[in-house]
Amino acid sequence: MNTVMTMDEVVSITNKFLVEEFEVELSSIQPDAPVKETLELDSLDYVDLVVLIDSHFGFKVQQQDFKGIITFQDFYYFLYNRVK
Amino acid sequence: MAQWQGQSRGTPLGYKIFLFLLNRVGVRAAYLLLIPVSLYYVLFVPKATKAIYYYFHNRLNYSPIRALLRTRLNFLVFGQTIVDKFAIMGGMKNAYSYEFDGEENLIEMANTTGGILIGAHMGNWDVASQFLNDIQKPFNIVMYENELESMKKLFDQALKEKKIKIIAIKQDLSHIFEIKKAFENKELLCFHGDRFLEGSKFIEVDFLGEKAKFPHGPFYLATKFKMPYSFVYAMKEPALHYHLYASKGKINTGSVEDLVEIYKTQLEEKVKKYPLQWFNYYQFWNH
Repeated sequence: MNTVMTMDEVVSITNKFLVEEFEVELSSIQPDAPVKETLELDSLDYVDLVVLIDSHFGFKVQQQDFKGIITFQDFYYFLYNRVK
Repeated sequence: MAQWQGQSRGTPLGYKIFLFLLNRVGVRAAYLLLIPVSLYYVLFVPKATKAIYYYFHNRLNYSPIRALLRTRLNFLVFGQTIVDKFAIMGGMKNAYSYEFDGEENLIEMANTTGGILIGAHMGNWDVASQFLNDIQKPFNIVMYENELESMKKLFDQALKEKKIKIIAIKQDLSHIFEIKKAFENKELLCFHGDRFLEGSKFIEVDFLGEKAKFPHGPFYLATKFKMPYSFVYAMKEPALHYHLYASKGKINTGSVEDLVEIYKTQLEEKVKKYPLQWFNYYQFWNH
């Protein structure tokens, strides 16, 4: 994806695919909520998350990228910093 | 992250003794040594013994005496499959004969889309790849780190030569990227479909007449990524013979739960055909 994205767009796209793919309520996705627990991510579910990021934002996540992502706010910032 | 809390009781020294016997005397000598070794396990690993006895007596409805005798035999056969694993991966494949129902199914998947192979803790499915000479792509075996570490060290050389890659599910999530890469390269990914780990997602279904938990992950990946799946088994038969099975590659168009139902139905069939080769040595059912 070549166009510059705003933080609002990143949040909107992210929340949309999380709700659709991980079957969670939008209301449960709060900036300070923990990603892993909220999405109930299993060790293999992360594969799905990596593929989704790749397809929606057009970049490949690296192993070290997950370090430091605890909350959805962390997650949004990580994505935003890669696509801004 | 969920982890396998079971123990791998075989020590490196124990494995080396078996390797020595295998290399110097042969498979059947190693089998002989298993008689006392397996008896030790029956007597001194009560949790495992209890779990297998429960399986024979409560789930397969064997009488107490028969269940006890079968429990003893189950440990012995399990030991034999480990010896076979060493022998086959160590280059003694020609000591064994085998037949393969569905080899073409795996070849087709390997040569086209790749796919997910789902086995069970039954028989010796991780040796199946050793009998497949027509598949050039690597087999990626996905396993929990604690479960495989001691074996991996000993198999390391064999694994390199035989185009087997072990993907260990780790805390650092490195497995995600290896699995993704295997998908992208259209390789074969092999999972056990019958081991649920505390703390990980599961799907509960009726299995041999009682509720049991099955892991969500392998079935989820097959469904989510619309990868063809095949159920694979390598079952031990008398006289150093293996019977390998691979179902035709299919894409699951239903839910993850539907796929688990399909899996458990064919697993029940295999269990009934090869009751001695059920190797889940823990409380599998929710009793």
